[in-house]
Amino acid sequence: MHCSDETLVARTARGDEAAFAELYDRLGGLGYSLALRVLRSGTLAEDAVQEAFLTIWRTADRFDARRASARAWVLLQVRARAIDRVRHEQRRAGRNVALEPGDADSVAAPVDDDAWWRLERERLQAALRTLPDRERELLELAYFEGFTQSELARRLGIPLGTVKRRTFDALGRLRVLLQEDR
Amino acid sequence: MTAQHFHPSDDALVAFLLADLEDGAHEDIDAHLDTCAGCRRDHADAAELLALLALAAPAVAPPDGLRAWVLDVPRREPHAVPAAPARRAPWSRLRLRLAVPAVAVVALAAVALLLSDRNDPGVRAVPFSAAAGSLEVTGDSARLASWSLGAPPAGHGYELWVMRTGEAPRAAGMMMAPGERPVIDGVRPGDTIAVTVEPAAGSAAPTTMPVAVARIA
Repeated sequence: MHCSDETLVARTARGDEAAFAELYDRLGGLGYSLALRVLRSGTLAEDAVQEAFLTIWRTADRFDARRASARAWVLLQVRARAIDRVRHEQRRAGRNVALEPGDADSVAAPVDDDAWWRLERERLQAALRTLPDRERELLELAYFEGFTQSELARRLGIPLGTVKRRTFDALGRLRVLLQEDR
Repeated sequence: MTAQHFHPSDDALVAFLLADLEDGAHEDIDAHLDTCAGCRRDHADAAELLALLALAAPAVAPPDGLRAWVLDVPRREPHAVPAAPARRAPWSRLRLRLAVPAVAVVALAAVALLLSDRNDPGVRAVPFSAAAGSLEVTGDSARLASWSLGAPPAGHGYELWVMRTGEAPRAAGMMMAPGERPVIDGVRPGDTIAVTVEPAAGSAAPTTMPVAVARIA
């Protein structure tokens, strides 16, 4: 199909199964990789992607393209499910314990993306490497470990205002870097 | 409720997108985004960046079973609304026999009532609400004469609807770019023409609140 992600969501809202399948084919792999990085368990990562796509099927009619692109909506849904689970596990295990590496199946070999995603991935990772260490670490902790800014301030022993400023600066730098070579 | 009227700061939007906020704060921002185009744009920008961050995770292929599970979802949970035809020509009329989101219909009908004007059956220029433009009505045909709201958002179009008491909204064509002057056939006095923002492929029923309405006297 040669239509936008947004069109796929609109068609999904009308019950178009082929459009829904195409949406998964475009974004499911990315979503799974993201969930796996957060949860460090293939089984839990599958759960997160399943829950996200179930929500997408049920609520496609409420998607608002003015608020976010379809791609951002889908990926952030997957992240939200994964983070929910991580926080749940953290509460069970004790607040400051990071999630232990999970099932043996979580140590899956990285795979080559298709060419376009590989390029996007290289750009993003190159941009991340140019960030000051403190900013990159903070972003990764906030994004992949699911720590709130207050928790990060506590864990790192720095003021909340510093956490907010560094996160803001890091995202600002990324935005500039990623826009530059378009 | 007043918290909804404050524009969230950039870092509040990031916290919102990262699901860091307490329920109350999250809902306030959610509700505010429904009403504020400026904040929606800021939210969209931040969302794009945060979605890209997903690429920092190593690429790993999901198991085949995951695809099978997801593709089975529609069979397990069929939508109440059957799929609309895949292709719709511009300006074509689509007789609706499908369920319509109740909220959208009630809201559009309520707005139509507010505009009712029984005084001038002879008026042929029909203005849209909010100075959005105007229609020129000749017989049972309404032509868009002017439009001041600019182009629709990328990937979207303006969809026109004919609203008539007791009937589901009738899709009456798409407007994709400024300068288009669509013609709507089969209009009657008492009809309300509504314009909503829809995905570019069009929708079988309105999915958003109208950006403008016009009452055909």
